[in-house]
Amino acid sequence: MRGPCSGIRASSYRLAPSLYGCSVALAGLSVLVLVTPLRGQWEGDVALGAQWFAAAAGPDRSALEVALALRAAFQHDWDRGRQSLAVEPFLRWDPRGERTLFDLQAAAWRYRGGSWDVALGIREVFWGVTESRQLVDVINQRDPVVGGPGYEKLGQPLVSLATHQDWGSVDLMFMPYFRPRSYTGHAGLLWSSARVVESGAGGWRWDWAARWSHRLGALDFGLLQFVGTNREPRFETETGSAGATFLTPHYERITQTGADVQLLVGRWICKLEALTLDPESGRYVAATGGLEYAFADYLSVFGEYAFDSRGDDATTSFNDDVFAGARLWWQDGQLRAGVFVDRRTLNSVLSLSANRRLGNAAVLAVEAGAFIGREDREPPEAPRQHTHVALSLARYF
Amino acid sequence: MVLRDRDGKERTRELRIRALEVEGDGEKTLLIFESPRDLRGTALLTFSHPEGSDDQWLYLPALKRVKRIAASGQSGSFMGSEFAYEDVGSQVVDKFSYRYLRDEAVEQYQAFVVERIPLDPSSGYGRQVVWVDKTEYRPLRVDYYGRNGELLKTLRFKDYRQYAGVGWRAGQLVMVNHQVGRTTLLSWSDYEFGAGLADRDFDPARLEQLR
Repeated sequence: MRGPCSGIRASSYRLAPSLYGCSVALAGLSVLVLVTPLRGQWEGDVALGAQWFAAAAGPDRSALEVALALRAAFQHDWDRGRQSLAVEPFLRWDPRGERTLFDLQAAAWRYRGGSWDVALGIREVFWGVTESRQLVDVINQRDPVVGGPGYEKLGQPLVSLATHQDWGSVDLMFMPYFRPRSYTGHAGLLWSSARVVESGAGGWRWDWAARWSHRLGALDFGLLQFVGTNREPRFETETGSAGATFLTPHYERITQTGADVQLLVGRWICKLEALTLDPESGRYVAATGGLEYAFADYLSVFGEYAFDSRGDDATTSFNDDVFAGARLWWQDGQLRAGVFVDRRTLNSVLSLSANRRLGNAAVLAVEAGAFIGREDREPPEAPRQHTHVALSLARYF
Repeated sequence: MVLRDRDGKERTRELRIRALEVEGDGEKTLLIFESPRDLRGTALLTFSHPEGSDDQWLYLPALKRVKRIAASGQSGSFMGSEFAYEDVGSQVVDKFSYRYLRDEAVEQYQAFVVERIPLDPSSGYGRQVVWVDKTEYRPLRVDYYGRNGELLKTLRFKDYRQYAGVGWRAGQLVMVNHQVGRTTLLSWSDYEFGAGLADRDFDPARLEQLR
């Protein structure tokens, strides 16, 4: 999802003033850190990307999106590796301005004790095991990504405490700030021709999450509980004074419970993720599960099933879909291909991504996706699957 | 690590490796990529066990994701090189049966030539012939033969240095694969023994923080 393709993401958002102030302070701090004789160092990459869509994003818009992305990472460790400071700014520049974005994907101090970890700041957290979808990866806001498999994550301000014991690991997180999704470019074309008008609903919240995870030999499992602001908005259709309709996002307070399980049997890995939550529209359950088989270090194949109990009311196309995919690695790159097929409508979404290393510090990447089927058979509120091709060239420094 | 293919094209991989021997149960190894640059920070954590399959986790820094992976087993290629995992792991005496063949000189060293046969049926080899120097028992060369008796690979150890209290370690290992014409050069530097590493420095639940 990330990496060389990052320059071609069709999304952006505006930082709320308070968070923006925070970001500037942290950017200043990182400059200070840079010029002090600390053992840390900067690294990063710059990527030029372009993506073409089968259809333009609107009557006055183009089918081509271009962007230049700059990603940097600063890491400093001290106290014999127990304490660290990580700062990861990201800047995307869109010559038309719409998708220009500045984000801090990380700006956190962390302490690693004997059996306790503490983190304070902005972080990205990944939870989950499956290949086709990430249901239990609920901490960070997702920036909808039209080109690329899924989403880009936004840094989440949080305070976290983790402990690692014989009976497993427990992560506790307090998330005082909520960041809304943004819908620009092709990401703003959800399901109707009405565009999304961003409500700027970010702000201070009292959101909590906890996860217990454990490993018993070949079995890994995790249980999570989240009480806070749903990262996925509910939309309301509104009519403006000029008679044009538009969609406004509303972020509800929800409670969600999830589980992830993974079992290794030889070269097979069985995986399952499940999540239930209680939005105003009614409680629902979503699950993804399946198998991975590793032929060798360089080739794995996947078969999964994705389910959503809302059926035609789901906010995803993948409510009753079978997924098949493969990943191939070689010395200078990798190839990933996958297809979702809806069991009932046979609507399909194909995806292909490949990258090739050029020398030691550059990567050329291509990514493509195609929707095959009838739009009118998709769940009416599922974001459209856009047929597209994207190219990017990244240079690491 | 330099991988050289049949046409002489070279690719360089830089890695940092941390290892911890676990009393009564194999070894824990953490391998962190430095280059190529797009893989920088990618980490592979392996718990190798004397019996049964190994446990392996891969950390992908761009996604902050730890993935458990099906271990390729000891005969799999180490990072796409001509080394198999069983060639780079610790060479446990009990894993082979031995037969003395002859004495022979290897460069400036006088060596015993010993044949050893892997006892583990999952090994990729039928037998190995090892040249060991007579004074310090350092391996100088290993010829690897397949199950059908064909010569697969030759490994040469170079630039031996002595580390206080630990013994000799080779600075360079050169593996030639005779079957495919490829060569891997593994250069080691900055060995540090007794580095104060503990189990918590090899915990898959904290792989994101280990660097």
